Amino acid sequence: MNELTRITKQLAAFGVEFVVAGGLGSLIHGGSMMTQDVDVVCRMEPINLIRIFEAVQTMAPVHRMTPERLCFTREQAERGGLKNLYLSTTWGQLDCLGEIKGIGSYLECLARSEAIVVDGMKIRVLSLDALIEAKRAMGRPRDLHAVLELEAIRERLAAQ
Amino acid sequence: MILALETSCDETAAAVLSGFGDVRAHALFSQAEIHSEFGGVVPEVASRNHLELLPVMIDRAMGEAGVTFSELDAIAATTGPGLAAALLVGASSAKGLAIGAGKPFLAVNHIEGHLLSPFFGEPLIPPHIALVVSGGHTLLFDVAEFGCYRILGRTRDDAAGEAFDKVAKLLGLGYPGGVEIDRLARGGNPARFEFPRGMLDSGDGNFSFSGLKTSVRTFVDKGFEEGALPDICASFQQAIVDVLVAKAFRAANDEGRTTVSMSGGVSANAALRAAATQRAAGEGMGLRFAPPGLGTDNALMIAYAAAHHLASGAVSALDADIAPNFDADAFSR
Repeated sequence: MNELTRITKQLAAFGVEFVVAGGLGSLIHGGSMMTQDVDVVCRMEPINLIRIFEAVQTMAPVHRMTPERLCFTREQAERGGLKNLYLSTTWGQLDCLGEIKGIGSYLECLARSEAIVVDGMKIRVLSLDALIEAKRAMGRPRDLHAVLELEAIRERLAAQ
Repeated sequence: MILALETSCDETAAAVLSGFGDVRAHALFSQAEIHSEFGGVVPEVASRNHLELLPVMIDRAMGEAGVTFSELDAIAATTGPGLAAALLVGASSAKGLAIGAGKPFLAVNHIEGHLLSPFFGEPLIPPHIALVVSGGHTLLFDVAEFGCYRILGRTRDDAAGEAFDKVAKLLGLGYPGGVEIDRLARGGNPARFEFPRGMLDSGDGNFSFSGLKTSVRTFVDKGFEEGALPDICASFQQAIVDVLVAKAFRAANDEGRTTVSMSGGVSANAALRAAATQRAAGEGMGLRFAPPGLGTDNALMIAYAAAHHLASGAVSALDADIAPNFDADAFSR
């Protein structure tokens, strides 16, 4: 998990407004299932996009979904108008999403997030309930398997 | 009923097994074609594909078996040996599902899965000599019963299957090469070219195939007529088969065992099967091969091994680590 949280710590260090979701969110809440990328919900306005660019610029960021794997540039960040950013970096894959299924926009995710200290740095992570809702809404086999585990974790926490 | 996952290398597989032999489902996706363009398995690519495919294989297997997670008795996964990043996918998924379903987790050794597979369906493992021979391993064991294995030898360099793949590459046959060499060798003369039989008379159970590979390379570098390819394949293959058969049956005689088993991908090789069958008949020994479909990596053999663990009362800790390297000392018990 350290490899993944390294990216989120970098985002936090550059003041990026984001909420951790996806598989990393599950791991932070005590899940077991492996993930290889970092999914964060972000404010996708130029000021935040510039912070994202500054956080990742030393990681050779490229747009993973473009056939030519085009570089992510400051100019693109300043121009704005991006709904999602699917980046491949030398630190791993980073998906910056404008919204996620089941929960909604960055602000809606922020309202349903909690601050958790990860590797010594406080970051915002979707709450366990919100993560379960988001994963159920995604509905892919891997999301539904994660829901099974997260629900068991929620039950265990409630019993404590 | 057990759900078992296998992701140690480039096969993504999930199986549901009831008892020791009632196959409820087996879903397997081989990434071989994906890795063929690289000429071998790329760990990072394998891991990413496991992440994408394993949940689909799990749902396919569970759907085919017609069961829910809550109806399972345990969830098992290969935890080693294998590629670390690949093992992590299966192991972490199995642990997550075990937690979610409130079922025991069973960590299964990949070698044990192969080793037991010739007895698939049977509740008891008889005393025997086991040869596990694949692209990653060439191992010889004396087996007293389930869980009681003593290593007699292993390859000092290349695994037998690795030698097949490397020689196939030398001959321009692509990857994976074992199947293609086997096919071409059927029309060839195994006595036409003399290749070395490494460690044939070493007096122990160890193997070496790197000298054979080098010998074929030297031969190929000198040039050969196109029509000689089947003979080269047959002669190379015979050199491997001679060593594997000789060592396995010699071990059986030395250890006083009356049954020999062969498992792993190379155990599907037609020449190996023919030579071992002939030798077993000549010596009045029992011979078992991994059943069709269970020679190469698969999840059914993991489920079968897990069924034995469960029957013996063993379950694994949820914090059990993966073990990418084969620890012969820990395995021999």
